[in-house]
Amino acid sequence: MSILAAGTPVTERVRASIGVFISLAGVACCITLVFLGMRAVMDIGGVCAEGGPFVPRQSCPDGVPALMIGGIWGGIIFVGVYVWQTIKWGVPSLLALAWPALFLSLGWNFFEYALDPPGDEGLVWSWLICGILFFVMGGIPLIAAFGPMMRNFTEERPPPGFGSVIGDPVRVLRDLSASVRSRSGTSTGASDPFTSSPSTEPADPSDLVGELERLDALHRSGALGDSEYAAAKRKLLEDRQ
Amino acid sequence: MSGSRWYWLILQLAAIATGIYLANLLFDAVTT
Repeated sequence: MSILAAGTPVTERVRASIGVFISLAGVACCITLVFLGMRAVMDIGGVCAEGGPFVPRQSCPDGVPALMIGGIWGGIIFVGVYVWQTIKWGVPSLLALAWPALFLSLGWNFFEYALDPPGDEGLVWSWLICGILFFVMGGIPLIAAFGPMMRNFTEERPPPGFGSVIGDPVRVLRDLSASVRSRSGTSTGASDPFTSSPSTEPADPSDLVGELERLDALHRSGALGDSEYAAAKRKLLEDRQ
Repeated sequence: MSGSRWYWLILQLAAIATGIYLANLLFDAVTT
């Protein structure tokens, strides 16, 4: 059941808030650690090594290897916990920002150090190319995912389940289908799976039990509030009498 | 936007800010 549904107990909301807050803070913390660790390594030329059979030419800054490894693995774990929490509680998610945040922040490091490298080097082309690549890898997903992600926050009823985490692919297809049809002048028939609204069309007018089950499912998913559910159920029963 | 969705958006933005702040504290504590 969605935590957004009316009548959710306060204790459930508190548990959801704590779970979502800690897991997302963990994701942000780990991405930032990787970002800072990369800068520390680039300050000493971009390469370092510790231990192993060879004597390292360049030692790593104190603590940075542990922080970067912890940041990478911790980030993966916290992302998993965050996805679990947002699905469990039906909370709109900012997960779509994680990948762009990682690549744009690391790409920024590449750009900054390519243009102004430590020492007297001039422009470092290899870092500049990496920066461009990282900006493309982070920027394109950000542009593509930002709109659908924010719609989960701005629309009254986000789709339940995984759709609320990464945006709603079905809704994107439905919008696209409607857009293409409106341009080509084709009417949107009721049989169109993307343009028809299943919640407004009875599947079978004689199937009262099926209709009641559908209403109950909508109520349990949080799409219908208590009062809306009661009113719809009453109207359905009255219509059938 | 309903109040509940504002709540979740603000809570998650606060979580991100907190995470970034803690990472800076942790990084400074370990590397200096």
